Amino acid sequence: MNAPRDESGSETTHRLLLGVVGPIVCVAIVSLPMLVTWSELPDPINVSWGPDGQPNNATPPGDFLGYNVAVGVFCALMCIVAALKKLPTAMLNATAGLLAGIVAPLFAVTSLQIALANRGIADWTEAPSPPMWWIAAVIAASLLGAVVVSFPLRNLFRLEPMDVASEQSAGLTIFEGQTASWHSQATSPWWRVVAIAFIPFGVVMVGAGIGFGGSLSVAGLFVFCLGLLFLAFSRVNVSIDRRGFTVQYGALPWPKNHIRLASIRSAEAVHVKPLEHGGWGYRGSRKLLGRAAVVVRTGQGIRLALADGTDFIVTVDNADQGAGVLNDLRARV
Amino acid sequence: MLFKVDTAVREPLHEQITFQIRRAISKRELEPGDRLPAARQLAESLDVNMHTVLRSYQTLRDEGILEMRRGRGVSVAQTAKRTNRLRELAKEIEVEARLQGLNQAEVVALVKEYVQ
Repeated sequence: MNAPRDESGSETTHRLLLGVVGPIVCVAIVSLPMLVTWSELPDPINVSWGPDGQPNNATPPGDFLGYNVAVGVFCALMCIVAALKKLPTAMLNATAGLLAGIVAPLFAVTSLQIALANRGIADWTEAPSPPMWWIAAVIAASLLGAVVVSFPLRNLFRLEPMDVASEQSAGLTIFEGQTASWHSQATSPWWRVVAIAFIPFGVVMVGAGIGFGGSLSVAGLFVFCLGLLFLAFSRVNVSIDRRGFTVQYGALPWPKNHIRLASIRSAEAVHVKPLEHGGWGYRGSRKLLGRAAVVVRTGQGIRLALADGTDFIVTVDNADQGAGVLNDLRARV
Repeated sequence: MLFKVDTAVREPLHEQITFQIRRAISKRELEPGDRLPAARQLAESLDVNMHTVLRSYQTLRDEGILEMRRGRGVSVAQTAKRTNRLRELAKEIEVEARLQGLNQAEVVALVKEYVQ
């Protein structure tokens, strides 16, 4: 699936940016906050705060620096893997690069926050609670990292549009005067299993946290929310009608993807393998990579070739019929 | 599943939708437990009044083919298959009898030969 490309100067530059500059930046940004403030840090340092804002967990600064360097090295490796295109598909390579772009800034800002909170204090229990806007700073840094890393990724992994199917899925003959509406779905039983495990586990953790104190309730809330997310995204509902192609996730009204009928060149039923698209969930990006896929399971899916030259793939049951309906509706536009 | 409605034909819109759901179940395109789109969503999609879709759903609910639960949407009932296949066959007999010029009494007599 890697698009064949000439070794142009531009590509070499972006390979160097991703494969050489990227790894150096990853390791540097996660370790610099600790290294710069090293002489002013107590031993041990505080690394977390409870819901009451009090320091509740300490570790030697050397260990904390070690964790951060390990994360930096992991991100550096992801950059190198992406630059050398070592993974079997372009989507997987791009995902590796994007992962580094998100994770390294996240740990860098967290490390900076902890270094600043511990700087100049005699004992870790004196570390002041970080302001709430640090959470926004962490999210913003990750988003910025994703944007920055997307420039070399866009150059290296922009996928060529797939050929328009020579034999489009058979139409179902929607006659003049008829209005058609097609609905189907795809479900991931494994995501449901994970959700069913996480939700009660989260509730128990929150209960235990309230009962015994400590930060268990915060972790429990996180696990509970993660379970809800798994449940919400364990099913996609696809609908096709005169207005276009719509993908809705679970029972939630948002988020959803809608593509107008006029923006679709053709549709065909395909067999979707998650690893070809970088895994499960919403993979890739139409703007960044020229292709995006909504993957909840292995099996049938609909591939849309869009007018802007990008592809959109969604796993859905009875995909052959859906592609046929879409091609019929398109022909009537 | 695929819904198609045609305003030009004599059959009312809600009956067209009802027939298609029945047919989808008998052809096993829809299985017990499968969800159908919400009435509002389907109505907007087909460009018909929401009450048209609701009337169809309610007819099928009264026949035990669909289940409608507040907050859980519309789904095919576990008991749907048992009755739906017979209804589908009855519909086919009615069409075939009309084509062959048989009246209601003759059709009933014919069916009675097999149902003792």
